[in-house]
Amino acid sequence: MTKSDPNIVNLGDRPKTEEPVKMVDPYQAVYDPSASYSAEETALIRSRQSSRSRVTGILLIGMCILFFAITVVKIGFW
Amino acid sequence: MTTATSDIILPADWRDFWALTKPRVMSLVVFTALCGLLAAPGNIHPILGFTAIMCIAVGAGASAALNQYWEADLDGKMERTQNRPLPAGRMDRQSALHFGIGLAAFSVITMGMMINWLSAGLLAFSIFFYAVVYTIWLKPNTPQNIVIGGAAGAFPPVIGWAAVTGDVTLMPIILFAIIFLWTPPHFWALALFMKSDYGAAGIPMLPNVAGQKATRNQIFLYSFPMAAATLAPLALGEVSWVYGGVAILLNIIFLAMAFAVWRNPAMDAAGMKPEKRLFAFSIIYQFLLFALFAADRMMNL
Repeated sequence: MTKSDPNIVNLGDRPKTEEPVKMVDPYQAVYDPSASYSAEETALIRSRQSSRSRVTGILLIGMCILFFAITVVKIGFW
Repeated sequence: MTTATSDIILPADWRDFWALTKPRVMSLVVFTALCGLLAAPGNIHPILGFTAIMCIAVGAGASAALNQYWEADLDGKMERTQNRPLPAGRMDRQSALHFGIGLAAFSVITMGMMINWLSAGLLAFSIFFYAVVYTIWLKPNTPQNIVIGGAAGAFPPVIGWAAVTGDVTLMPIILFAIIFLWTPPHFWALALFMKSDYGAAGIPMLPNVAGQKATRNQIFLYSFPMAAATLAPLALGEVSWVYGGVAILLNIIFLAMAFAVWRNPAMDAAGMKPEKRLFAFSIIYQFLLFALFAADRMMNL
């Protein structure tokens, strides 16, 4: 996928004064974290990112605990 | 990772990734795998048992994600599936592909390193079978898709068993056969009352290709070897008559429902109550059989 692909709608490529875009092909869309967004858009994106980060963090902590427990079991301490 | 809303593109929500793993299907996979693990002779440490079941669940989630990656266009044509994350435009295909491959690699490697490589190999094969053999090859090409593809769903109890014993004997193969033979009546009952949905997507399910009468015949015929497979553990003396008695009762109900389907002349979904009843009961049937099998083996009834 390249930015010249006509099927790609990249929010960062449009001037802020324009009407909001609708994705032509959601399968091919590219989210560009380096693009500039309005305050509202940034808040929406940040909230989505933070909820994903929280879930990822919880899963990683769970994995750490599980792998530690497996290690303890494997070396025969438990 | 993107989402299309009316006016902004957002990264896909974590709930969409969760939905991509088909949690309801995963719950049945986890249950049958747990029954295989509990019914196996020998012991496994609860932490390792939990790890094995988690790997099987994650592997099932990987299969579901890869399946939806491949079938996004087909899913968009069916009412039942058009609200899934990909056809609904809440996620891009590449994210689904990466997510599926990541989950598959994690589940197989963790299973191999923490449990044993036989169960890891079986898990890898079951993911490959569902994502490639069933999804890409069988499903769009043959009305026998769910007969052969049913093997993918039949692996979890075998993997659960192999996680404990490190081998595969006759009993896990019988568990495999039960699910393998249960799958056609279960899915064809669904396909009968979802015929138009599958037809719209161009999937050659048996009712669309061979007709409803032929499908009803097949449902009824498959119910007999399935019933025989569920009674095989009793015939081999591996379970008690507590399991045997309940299995016989469940099979009588299943066969009676399959008979009602066989006799049903309805051509439209509205008249397919016997098919809907059989589909719903088939889930309860499998749940009860496996729960009882595991309980019987654990308690030596």
